[in-house]
Amino acid sequence: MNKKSINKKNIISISIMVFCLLMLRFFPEKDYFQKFIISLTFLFLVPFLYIKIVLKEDLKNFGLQIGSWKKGIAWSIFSLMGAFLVLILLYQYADLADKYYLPQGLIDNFGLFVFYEAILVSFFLALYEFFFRGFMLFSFIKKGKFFSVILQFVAFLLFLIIAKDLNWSLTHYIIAAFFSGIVAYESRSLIYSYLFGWLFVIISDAIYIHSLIY
Amino acid sequence: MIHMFKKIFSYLIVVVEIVALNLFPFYAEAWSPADFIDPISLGIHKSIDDNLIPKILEIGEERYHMDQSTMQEYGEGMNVSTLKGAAPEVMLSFSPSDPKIGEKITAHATPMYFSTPTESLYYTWYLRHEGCNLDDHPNDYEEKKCDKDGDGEITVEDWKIEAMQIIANGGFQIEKADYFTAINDNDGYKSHMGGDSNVRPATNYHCYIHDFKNGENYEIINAVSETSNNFYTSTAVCSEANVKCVKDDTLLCSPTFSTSSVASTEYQICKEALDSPFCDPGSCVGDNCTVVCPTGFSARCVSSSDLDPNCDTITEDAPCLSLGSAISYCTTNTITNNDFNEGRECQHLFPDAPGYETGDGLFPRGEEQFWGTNPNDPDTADNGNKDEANVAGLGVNSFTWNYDSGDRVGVIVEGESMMPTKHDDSSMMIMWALPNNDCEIEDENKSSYIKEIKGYDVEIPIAAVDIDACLKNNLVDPREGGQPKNLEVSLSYYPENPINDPTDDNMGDRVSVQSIISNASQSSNNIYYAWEVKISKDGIFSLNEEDWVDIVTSNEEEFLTKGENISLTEGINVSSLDFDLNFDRDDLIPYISGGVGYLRVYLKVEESFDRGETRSGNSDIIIKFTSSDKKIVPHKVIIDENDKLSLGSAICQDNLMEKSICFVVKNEIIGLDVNDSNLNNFSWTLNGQPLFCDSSISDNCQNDKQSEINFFPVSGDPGDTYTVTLDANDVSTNSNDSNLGNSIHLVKSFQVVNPSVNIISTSGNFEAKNLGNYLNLKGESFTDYSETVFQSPENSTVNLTAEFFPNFIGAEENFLGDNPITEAHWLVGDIEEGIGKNFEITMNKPIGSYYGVGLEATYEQSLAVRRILNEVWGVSQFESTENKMSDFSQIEIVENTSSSTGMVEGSQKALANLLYHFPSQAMFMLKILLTVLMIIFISSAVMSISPRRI
Repeated sequence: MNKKSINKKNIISISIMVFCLLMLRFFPEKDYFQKFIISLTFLFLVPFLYIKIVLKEDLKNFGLQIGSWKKGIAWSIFSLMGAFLVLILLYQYADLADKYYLPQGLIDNFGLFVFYEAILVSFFLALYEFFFRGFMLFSFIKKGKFFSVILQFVAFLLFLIIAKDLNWSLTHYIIAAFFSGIVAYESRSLIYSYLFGWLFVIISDAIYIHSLIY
Repeated sequence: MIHMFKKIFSYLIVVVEIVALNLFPFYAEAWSPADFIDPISLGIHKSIDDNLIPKILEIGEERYHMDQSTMQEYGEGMNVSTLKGAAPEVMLSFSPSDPKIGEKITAHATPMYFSTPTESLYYTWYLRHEGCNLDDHPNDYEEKKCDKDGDGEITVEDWKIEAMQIIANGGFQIEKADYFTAINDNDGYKSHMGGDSNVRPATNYHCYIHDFKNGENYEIINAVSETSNNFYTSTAVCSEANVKCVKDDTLLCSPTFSTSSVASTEYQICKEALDSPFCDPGSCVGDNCTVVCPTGFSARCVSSSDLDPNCDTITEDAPCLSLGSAISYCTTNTITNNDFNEGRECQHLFPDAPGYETGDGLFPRGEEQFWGTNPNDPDTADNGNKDEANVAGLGVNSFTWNYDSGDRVGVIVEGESMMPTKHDDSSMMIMWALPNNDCEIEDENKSSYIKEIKGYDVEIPIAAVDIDACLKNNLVDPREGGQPKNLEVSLSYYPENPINDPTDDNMGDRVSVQSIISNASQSSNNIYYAWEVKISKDGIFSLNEEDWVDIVTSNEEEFLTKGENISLTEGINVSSLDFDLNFDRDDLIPYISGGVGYLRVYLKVEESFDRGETRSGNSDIIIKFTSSDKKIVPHKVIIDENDKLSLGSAICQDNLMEKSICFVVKNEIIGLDVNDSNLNNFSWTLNGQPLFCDSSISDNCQNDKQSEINFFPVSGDPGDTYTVTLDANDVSTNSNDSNLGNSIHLVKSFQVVNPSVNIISTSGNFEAKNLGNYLNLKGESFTDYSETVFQSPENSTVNLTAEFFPNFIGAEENFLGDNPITEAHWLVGDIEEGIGKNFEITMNKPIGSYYGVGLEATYEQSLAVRRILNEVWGVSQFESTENKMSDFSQIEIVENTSSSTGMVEGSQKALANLLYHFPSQAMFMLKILLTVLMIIFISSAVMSISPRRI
């Protein structure tokens, strides 16, 4: 990217992104409630306010729109196939079944599993979707084209590394991050990428539990 | 052998004389001894019946019990007795038999069948290193390594020098020697043929070699036969020296002053071939044979001076035709060499320094330097020999060197054999013994000669043989024979009768399998071990490999999981294997029979033995184990009115810690029991000593055999441990019993402790004071509670109880009766407010004040226990006194809030927590709000005031 083409908006946006990610890691917290508030604030509230107040842009430009539903559905299906292919390879060659972890309660209790997937997973996926795909990917989509997909994926990995959360239990989210970026890029909407990511994580977790039981 | 011949010979003389004295007098007047040899030729046969001699012999046989077949056997044996001589031999042995590279190894030579004493024999050792094979054209590396005499070839002489230098040098550091200024140290040695003790004159030296194939002894000569060729022209005989292979050729000579010509001159000359003519015996027709020359050449009888002239000498043409006649034919004869001096080929086989001779009695400085001996010490090797005698190998029946891979060694032992020669002197056969007796004598090199000895013509076999040529076939590998190819591994295990615990207690035996390698060349630190553990299908003892299932690596039957319940199974220095016998009951069902199963532990070991070589070995051991949840159960004891013991309630059963080691108090009597009706015979030990119980101690015990019940006193001090073992089996002489072969070995450990007591709360509003949080090494946070300061809301009631350790001393029944063995007194401040195990107190002081609650307790054995301790086990009454214990706690009166009351449950509690922590949450929210506002503000400001492009 040409240095001269980096404009002020991009620099400020990047600064906001970096700051939010650092705050996620280093903002002092004592309990899960505070952790929840921090995630909500820096993954959603700050980008949201920045877009609306500072950039004064429509959220449509950041993926909150229907977009191209044909492309969205088609690329979601392709991405599901690709993501599961990666998953199969990881199960086959990286012993993912031995490394992945879900709390025993989720494995034993179907109701708890449904609650976990429907509430917790969906909530955090929505936050990730808004920040990494909505805010980050769509901020650079005009300049970076497909590179913006890679950028958000790398940013997601860095975020996990900085947060010291990079472990095998997040494999499903990491796979979803990449393919969600593709879906969002192609459909110009967060709806399909979010639905893809959610569906993928639910099915992946179900497959993992199935492999444990049977 | 000689002795036997003498015996037979004497016997025959006696027999002949007896026959002669008894029978021949009838004819004595007519015979002389010569007549007896040939009576018929003397014409007296008419007076002797043709059957007379057989009759005489028959009478002799009958009269003197001489068996004809026996006499024939003696005669037949004598006919071939010369072939049965005991030729000298030598046997090599090595110490150690499995040398490591660089290690000192000693070869010992054991000579046999020499008449020369061992210390007078000459032992010429030779050592061939790897890469030092016989070679006329060695490369530079081989020459440097192997060519010891510097002749550019690798010969057996080099092998000998390599060994004899080591012997003669004896570890002397040659750099300390000054060979130029040293004076003669008189260390020369004059050798004698056949050994140092042979003082016979040289004319009596007769050297022989024994052919181990046909048993014949051959006198050694230079050559058995010589070939004589005669060449003939058509008219005359041509001297062999003048027979040449020639052909016509031309010689072009440049002009010279002598020729006075400017043109070159070409001469016809006769050119000689490089090869000499050969009289081919295979082409002979009758006596006439063909002369063979190289292609293009023909044989002629010429003078060599006429051949191959040069331009300086030639004056005219000299073609072959003008120089001599052609050879027409030749004759060839092989003449057996019968004409030689006796003993002429008796020569030592000692190695010689270049330009010197070993054993000549002189050992000058040059020789000293070559052999690396000390020029100022006549006995450098300090073995009692002069230096030259050591080079000659006098009495050197052992040879020590630093072993290298591929080394081969041999020895030639020179001495007089036990066999006499046929010569008319006192000589014995001088012979050489080789380790493998491998010295083949070609038939064409064998012959014989006739020598007149004592008036008779005696035939003596001879052979031309070079013993040095046989040395390559008489090399011995020091690792041959006694060198084990495999590591010898043996396994042992402990305990002898391991018990599997199929319950969740996981208190089964830890089996330890130890390996011992008896012939390892390295320590276990450098030996690779690989262990496997298998279990027998169906619990059957089987040696068939198919009946065993891997339980460590198999995915299906993972009884043992690496890294959890089994020690390292692979790697160097893993000389033992430990694993826990805690196989689950359900998993084990297919693999046991009658509660008995078999494990098979395999071990493969491998060590780096040599360059590029490894030695390996393997072994396995079958371990019979019993799967049983039976354990030694400790009990308190009950004493009846007759002071007899019986089992009370079981103790040490509350948790895994207690099950693994039972804590007991001094002066306790502990009852022991194992409930297994399948067992008949019991053997108890306490700390390795037999532990007996008879009817005088308990009615449950028997006087004739041990039962499943036993008792022991805890007489040790705090810190002491007791280990009780029980071996039991179901062997029974009762024919009705099943005798399934069940046997168990159970262990129970006890530790003597000081009893103690703690104040705890059983119910009510009572919490340990929160002292803060601490982080473990994983960064996890834990709340730190005080162990002595507690909090309780005002006006609340706290129920306290005394928690004893070991907890069985706080059993409720101990507090009952007029003389409870355990007492507890509760103090609030200094005032006793209660007695008994439990105590209740109401917090009716103001908030912030404290209650000091003390507990003083005693634990004392009953009088009956003390009496039995004294009477049965001799424990003094002064030893069995009471134990005092105490504890103290502070209770702080706090506000009656949700954080301390514990009265709020469920969702209410969460709400209460939220409310309780509201101030801190509000502060957090404020912080995060400010952060958000700051971000938005700063970004807005930057966006609005800075230039569009940076």
